[in-house]
Amino acid sequence: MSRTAVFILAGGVGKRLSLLTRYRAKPAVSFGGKYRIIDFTLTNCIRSGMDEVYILTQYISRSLVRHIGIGKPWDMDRMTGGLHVLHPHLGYQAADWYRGTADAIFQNISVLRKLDCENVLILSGDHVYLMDYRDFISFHRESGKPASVGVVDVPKGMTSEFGIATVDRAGTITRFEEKPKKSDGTLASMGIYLFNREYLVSLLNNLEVKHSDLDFGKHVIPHLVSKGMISAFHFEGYWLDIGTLRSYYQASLELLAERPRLGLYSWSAPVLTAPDDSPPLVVTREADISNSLICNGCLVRGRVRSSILSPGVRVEKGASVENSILFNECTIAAGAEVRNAIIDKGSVVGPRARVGFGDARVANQLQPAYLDFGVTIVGKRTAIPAGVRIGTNCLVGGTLDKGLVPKRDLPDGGYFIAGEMRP
Amino acid sequence: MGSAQGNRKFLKTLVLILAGGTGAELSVLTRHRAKTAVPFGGRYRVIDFCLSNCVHSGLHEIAVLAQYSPKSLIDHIGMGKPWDLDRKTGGVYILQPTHNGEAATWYLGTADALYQNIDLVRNSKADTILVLSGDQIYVMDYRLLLQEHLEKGKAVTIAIKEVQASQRSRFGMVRCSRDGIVTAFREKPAASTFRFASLGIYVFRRDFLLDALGPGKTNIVFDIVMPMLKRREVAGFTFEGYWEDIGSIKSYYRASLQLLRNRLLITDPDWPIFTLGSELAPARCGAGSRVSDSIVADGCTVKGRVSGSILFPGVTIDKGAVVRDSIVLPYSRIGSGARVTRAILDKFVVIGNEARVGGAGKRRGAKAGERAATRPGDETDGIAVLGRGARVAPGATVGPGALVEPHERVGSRRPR
Repeated sequence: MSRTAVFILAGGVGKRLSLLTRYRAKPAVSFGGKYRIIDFTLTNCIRSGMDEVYILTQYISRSLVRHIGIGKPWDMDRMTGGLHVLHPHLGYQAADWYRGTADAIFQNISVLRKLDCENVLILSGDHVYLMDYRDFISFHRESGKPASVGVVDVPKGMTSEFGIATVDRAGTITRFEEKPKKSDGTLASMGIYLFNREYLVSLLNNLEVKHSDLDFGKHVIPHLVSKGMISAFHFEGYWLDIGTLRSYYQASLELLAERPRLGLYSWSAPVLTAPDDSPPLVVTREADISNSLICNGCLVRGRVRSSILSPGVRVEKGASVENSILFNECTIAAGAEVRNAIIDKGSVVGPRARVGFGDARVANQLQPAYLDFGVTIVGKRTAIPAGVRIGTNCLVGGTLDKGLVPKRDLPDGGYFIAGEMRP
Repeated sequence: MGSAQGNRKFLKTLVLILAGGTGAELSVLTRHRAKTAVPFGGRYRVIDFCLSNCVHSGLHEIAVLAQYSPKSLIDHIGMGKPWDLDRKTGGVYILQPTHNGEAATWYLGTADALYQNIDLVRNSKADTILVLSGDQIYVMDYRLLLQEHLEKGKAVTIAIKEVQASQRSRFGMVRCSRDGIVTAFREKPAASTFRFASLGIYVFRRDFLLDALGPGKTNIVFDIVMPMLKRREVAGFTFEGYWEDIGSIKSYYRASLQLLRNRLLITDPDWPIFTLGSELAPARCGAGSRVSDSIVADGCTVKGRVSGSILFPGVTIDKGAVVRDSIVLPYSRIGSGARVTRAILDKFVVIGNEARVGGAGKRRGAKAGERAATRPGDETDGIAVLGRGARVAPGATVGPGALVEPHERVGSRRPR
């Protein structure tokens, strides 16, 4: 079997994740306590025997690049193959940002041309799933088509969020609708593609002339469907596109189920991530923990219920954390109460402060479309002073560095953002 | 640039870590592994402490002298990546006894281990040799020790610590004059008026060590250090921090549970203890779990009750199980309704549902259906110790202080 090179699209802005993507790319957002979203795709790659991986970044890539480094945690620090980050770059003829998913690949077409491989696998850095891509590749070979797309079944009510494919008996896609208002089909594109490499090179060269913002979902797939050149590989495992705050919050807390759909607890095949030198979790006498995921480096002296704590979180005496997701190195001070909240890295909730209590029906004033489901978001390195009350559906983004903190209580749906923030 | 070198003398130091002991005193825990590779503190191995001390002290040329069950140590240390010791210059390497063309023997003692590797010292550019024991739990900035060595200018500097009268029979006790010169040394005296114990941490001047080592010199204390006392060439460096030698099941158990009170030893952000990490998922505390006063590593699933205990990566505590004052090494499983009290469970131990292990009793040696203590170190001070892969059948009992050998099965399987 000849090699398959992998391109991972990791440049999206992830605007719907609001404050969580204000300082980092979406693939670098924390998930499941110790992971970043991109860990799942990188782990899938190495488990599937793919060690030549190109990651295309664009939006605030610093934390992402720092996380993946030279690919050591995934054994991708190699003499041959290995992991490479492709940033938008100046070229001899032209230079531009990546304007669409396929345009990002097109701008690196010289890399694609030089590769010594039969197929190219194009993945997204935003998905949470465990998949053996070798099944996908075998399917692709047998289909005889130059292109394949991974598809999953989605519930009837959610088809308007995906590209929906209609497939004939042979597996060839006969119809493809991007985010249809109504659809009979429930097979949604996962946004992962396999192409015959040479075919992809000529295809991108031809299509780029017509669309400068060339996009797989919008242009490339419909074009291939119209020519009957693409078939669908039906993936039956758990798959999640972290699209919105709501889906992020729900998918995270779903990990607390007795038998979560995402299998994190395999000893022989764990999900791989950048290592962390924290000591193990320390739990004191006063602590009371139940139904939670808690990482190394945490110190728990208070009450934790149905929550996820990333490495280095401190929950002090008399503090209470419930239905919340706390990113790395947060501190919940003595007597503070946090409920239904996502608290980003390095933030501090001061003594006796209360976060996330209130009426969930009041949507956020700044981003009502993203934040209306009864969760409060506290941005990175935000300090909530002692005794302050923050309601639900709130957005709070202060900065510890500049001492900008919300000094007064915030009602349900309120926001406090230091600096600029697009609605 | 020149000023720093002009005004200060620098020591170039080679570190030799003695890691060859059989650790017989650790009983079933060292049947399959070197003493220095015994898991400690929820995610570490004992040797992580001195390796981390070395790198935090800026020492990057380290040889680990191993001979007993070295595979555990080799697996763990590898090329030293977790300590950033995978370097172009220096780094960490593991040395085992080799055939040198002449008569070859195992390391006959601490000084013989150094002598068998004398070429290492000879070929090194180091002017100072730091000799450590790989089986101690402590945090020490060796720069202070080396500074003292430099200032006193003696052939040998040894680290010493004040210990209580009741503890003195466990140690090599020294008398130290007011100006910091060691004038007398008694190895494990029945009783002693000397207040300071030698910690088994030695700094040697290179030229002195090359002269002092030789055939027939087997022990560092008796053959190298003691002969220098009369010449007033042994300096003492007083250490005041926490220090524990993992010399017995009792001291292993005590040092482990002391971490619950003394957690700064592993949680100090300025002095992290580095180790080969596990890649397991975060610890999961289930809906009916109660965890308190404990250390819990990644990959654990706790559905029962845990208190006063240390759980290593991948441990499972099922519903209704109660674990108290115990140390559970990686991947062990405690079945539902089982009770484990004052016990040490090595890796991959399985405790069946409703089984009873250990207890608060102080019964010495072993009974309760197991064999009596026969080997050195099999005195467990009432702590039940279960070797790697041991299995306790559902409903069976392992009494306080019992020893269960690796892969041994206790109790017959009964239908539930």
